[in-house]
Order: sequence, then C-alpha cells, then structure tokens
Amino acid sequence: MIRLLRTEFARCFTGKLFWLVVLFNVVLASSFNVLTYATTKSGDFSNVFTDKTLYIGLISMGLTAAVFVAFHAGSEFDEGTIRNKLIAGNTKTGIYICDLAVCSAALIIIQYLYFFIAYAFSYILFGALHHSFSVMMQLQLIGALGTVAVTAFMLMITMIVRSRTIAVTVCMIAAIVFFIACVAIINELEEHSMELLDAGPEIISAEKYAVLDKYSYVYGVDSENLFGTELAVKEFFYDSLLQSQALRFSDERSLPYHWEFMVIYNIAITLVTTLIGVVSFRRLDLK
Amino acid sequence: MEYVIKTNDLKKNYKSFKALDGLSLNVPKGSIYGLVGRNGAGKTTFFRILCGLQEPSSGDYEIYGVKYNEKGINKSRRRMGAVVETPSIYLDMTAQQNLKYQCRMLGLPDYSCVDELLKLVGLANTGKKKAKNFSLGMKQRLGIAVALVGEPDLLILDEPINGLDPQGIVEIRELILRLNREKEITVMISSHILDELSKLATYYGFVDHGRVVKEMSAEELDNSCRKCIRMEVTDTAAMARVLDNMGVEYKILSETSADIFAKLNFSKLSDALSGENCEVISMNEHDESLEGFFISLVGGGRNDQASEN
Repeated sequence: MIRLLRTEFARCFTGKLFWLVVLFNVVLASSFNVLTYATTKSGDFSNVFTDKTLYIGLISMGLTAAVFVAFHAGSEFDEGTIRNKLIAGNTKTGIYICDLAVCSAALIIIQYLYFFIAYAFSYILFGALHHSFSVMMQLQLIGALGTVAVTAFMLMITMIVRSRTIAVTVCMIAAIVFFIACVAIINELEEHSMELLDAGPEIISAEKYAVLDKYSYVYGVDSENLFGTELAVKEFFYDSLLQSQALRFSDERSLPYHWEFMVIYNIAITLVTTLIGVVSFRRLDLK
Repeated sequence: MEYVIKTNDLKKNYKSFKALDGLSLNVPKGSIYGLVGRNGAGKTTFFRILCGLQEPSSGDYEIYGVKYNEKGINKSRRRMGAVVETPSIYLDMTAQQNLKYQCRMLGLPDYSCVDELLKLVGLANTGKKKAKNFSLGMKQRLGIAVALVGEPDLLILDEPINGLDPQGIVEIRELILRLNREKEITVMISSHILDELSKLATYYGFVDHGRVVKEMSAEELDNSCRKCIRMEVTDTAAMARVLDNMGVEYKILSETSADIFAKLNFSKLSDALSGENCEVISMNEHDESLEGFFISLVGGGRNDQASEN
C-alpha cells in the first residue's frame, strides 16, 4: 500500500492532468482580482469587497474534482492499469483508498494554492481584506474537509461506473446539479442571500456595502416559510454541500452559522461514500 | 509434477450466463500452456479471475499452492505477469516511464531492468515517444515488458499476437520461447491462431462452454492427431464409390481432393480408380492440425457466443 501510494503520488504530480488543473486555478485565482482592480481603476469606488474571490476555488471545487478524479482514476479502467496494481499484490480496497488519498491531497493542494494566489493578489492590489487571516485559515480547513468529501463522492461514482468518459459526464452533471441546488436552498433559507449574492466580488455602492457589512456575518437560516422535515432536509443540504459551505464562507467575517455541522457532515460524507465505494468496487467484475 | 496453477470446478456466472461452468485445469511448472477455445468459451474470464479482477461464483483456484481466498494470494500474484486482452499501460507515458512506474510499484531497488526489458521486447529506441503514439504491436510488446518487470515466474498472455503483423508474430513467438527456455518462466497463453499456438505450447487445455474438455501434453496431442493421405484426383465422386467398396474411412475436402484415414494398398486403389475413369494427380502424407483436432473435439458448430463478456 505504501509503495502504491508513493507510486501514485509520483504519477499524479508528474502527470499533465495535475498541472493543467493547477494552471486553470492559478489563472482563475488571479483573474478575478485583476478584473476587479481594472474596474476599480476605471470607476471611482472607495469600497471594494474582494473577500469572495478567496472562496471561488471552493465553489468551483465540485467541477474541478469531477474532472480531476474522473481523469485520474477513471483512466485506470480505460487503460486497464488496475490489473497491474492487483498483480503487484494490492487489494481492491487498497487501490481505492490510495486513489482517494492521492486525489484528495492533489485537490487540497489546488484549493490552498488558489486561496494563497487570490489572497496575494487581493493584498497586493487592494491592500486589505474584510476577513481576518485566522478566520480565513479556519474556513479553508473546513473547506479542505469539504474537498475530501467531494473527492470521495466523485471517486465513488468513478469507481462504480468504471469508465473515464461516463465518470466525467456523471460527475460534472452532479457538480452542476449540486451548485444549482445550493443556490436554490440558500435563497430559500436565508432572507438576505440574494442581496449578498448580488454584492459579489465586484465593486458595490456604499449603501449596499453597509447592508452587506451589517448582515454578512450574522445571517443564518431565517426562513419564515419552512418547518419540520422539509426544513431539516433543506438545512442538511445547506450545511453539507461544499458549494453551499463555500458560498456562505465568502460572506462571513467569522466562522459561519452551523460550522460544526459542516465539519461533521464533511467527515460523514467522506466515510459513507468511501464505504459504499469500497464495498461496491470489491464486488464489481473488472476487465 | 509440480503445478503453478490449479483450478477446481471453477464457476463464474454473469446473471444467467455461465461464463465458466466447472473449469478444472492444472498448469505444470515450466510449461507453455496453450488454452484453446472459441470466443465466449471462458478463456478471458478465467484470466481475469486469475489476475484478481473478478471473483469466481464458486469453486476455487490456487496460484503457487495458495488458494484465492487465502491471505498469501497477493504474494503469489506478485510472481505473475499478465497481458489480458489489451496491454496495461499508461498511454500518456513513454515506454521507459511505464516500466519505471511498475518497478516503483513492485518496490524494486533500482531501474536497472528497464533498459534490458526494453531491449528484450524491441522497444529500446522509442525515446520520448508516448505510448499513445505506438503501433498496436509496440503497445503489445510494451504490455509484455510491463508484465515482465520483477522477473515473474508465471506469464499469462491472452491473445498476445492479436493484430500483429507477421514479423511481429514471429518476434513475440521467439520472445515467449526465449523467456520459457532461458528464464524458465511458465507461460499460459491463449490464441485464436492455433497454428501459431502449436509452435509454442508444450501443454494444451481445450475449453468449451466454460469447462475444460481435454487437457494433454503436446506429445499426447501429436499422437492423437490422426495421420492421413491427402489425395488429389480428377473426380472425388468416383473415388468415394471406390473407397466405399473398400470399406475405408475418408473425408471429401473438395471436388478434387480427399483425406484417407487408413493404410491401403495404393496399387489396388489406383487400379480401381482407373476403372472408374478417375486419375490420381497427387498424394501426400498429411497430419491433422491442432485446429482439426480442436474442431473434432468440440464440434465444428458456429460460434453461438460471439464474444467474451
């Protein structure tokens, strides 16, 4: 298992896929701040809220993980290389856990890389950020658990469908559906969500900034229309989906409402999807 | 005799389809074991099970004396190399990178075997060319090289000459023979090109409908393959009348040729044929081929299961 891990890490970090995803995230992380800076220069704005750009990497992590996991683990089926791993004395469980470890590590590195590049650009171009660095680090840590959970979910799909093409399609559809669901749920559960979403990373008016500044770190579930089971189910998705977590991180000055639930759900999703994935993968007939 | 692979009543079902239906065979150490069977007979399924890709539905198998459900099976599998259907290679890596990856996974102390293996399979000059740009034959050879990393004692090759040109077929054949003779690697091989297989195999297992119909050594096969006289004549209908009168077993192959499975007085036969206005054009001793033996063993019906699952 250790040998396999070492070999797989080497394959991942020397492969084109990892560096392409890194490059994409570097461009993404820098471009938002550069665009905001250009807009600020062309207009005459005194208040700029760029903190949201720090979490776009997490919001897009669903899609990033879909592509990365499907290509990294899915190609093993297309190229038949799982056979070499089994013949080398590895078990199916070992192969699965190894893939999870490698994909999670790679995506966490990408997540932090995105964050630090976005942070550096924000700091260099605008001088200060709304959130404190320690809170950002705590949010990134919760985000890292979310990244592992998303990776575990995408890996489960990939290892069950056993095809790179199908896996990348299913995973991307899942990521898009989750994102749409997150926005819908946040809109439904939070009274101020639309206002916060409207604020975005772009330049906002002083009035709007005042509203955002007032509500951004105190809001939580405040729907007056949802009760009972429906509220519980929607709150579950509100707290458990990474995109939902990331959208909420981007508007909070301190740790967000239900942050403990986020941690628990991220760990639980990782464990449950890995268990389902391992059991299914062990039973599957591979070619 | 020492066996490297033993299977006992191995069964594998895909829903209602029985891919293996009580397959029992023994692969002697040091042999080149030819697995012969038509499409859908269960050869690839059996290889997949041996590699650990699939679990049998029932029955069991041993690799180097370790049963598949015992703890040491992973260790036994490390003594194996396999190319099943398609070669297991990373297409975005070069030949050298593929071999280094396998070395690392097997925990080999260095990459000293890489150049030697590339030379052995004739890929020493591929340089930085990615495997995705290789021809089918080159990929097949790279697959064999990957399977040979770690000096396995047992090599499993499923249709290794599929898609190869005549030169490639000869090269792979010579490579297999060299590995078997010089490195004493036991080879288990399946191929549809039975003539080619007959040039390699020292043991045969004939598989049909998921079970072994017959197992025999190459010597036993030689003895079992009937010898005959292949005659070319002007009129096989006339010859058939003559042979029927003589009470001889024969097989008409075409309007002008037939095989005779008996010792005959050919002067008498020639006279009788002249009486029927039938001339003898040629006469040769002929051995029944592996193909002929296989067809006579399993019947010559069409492939009703056209593909392996």
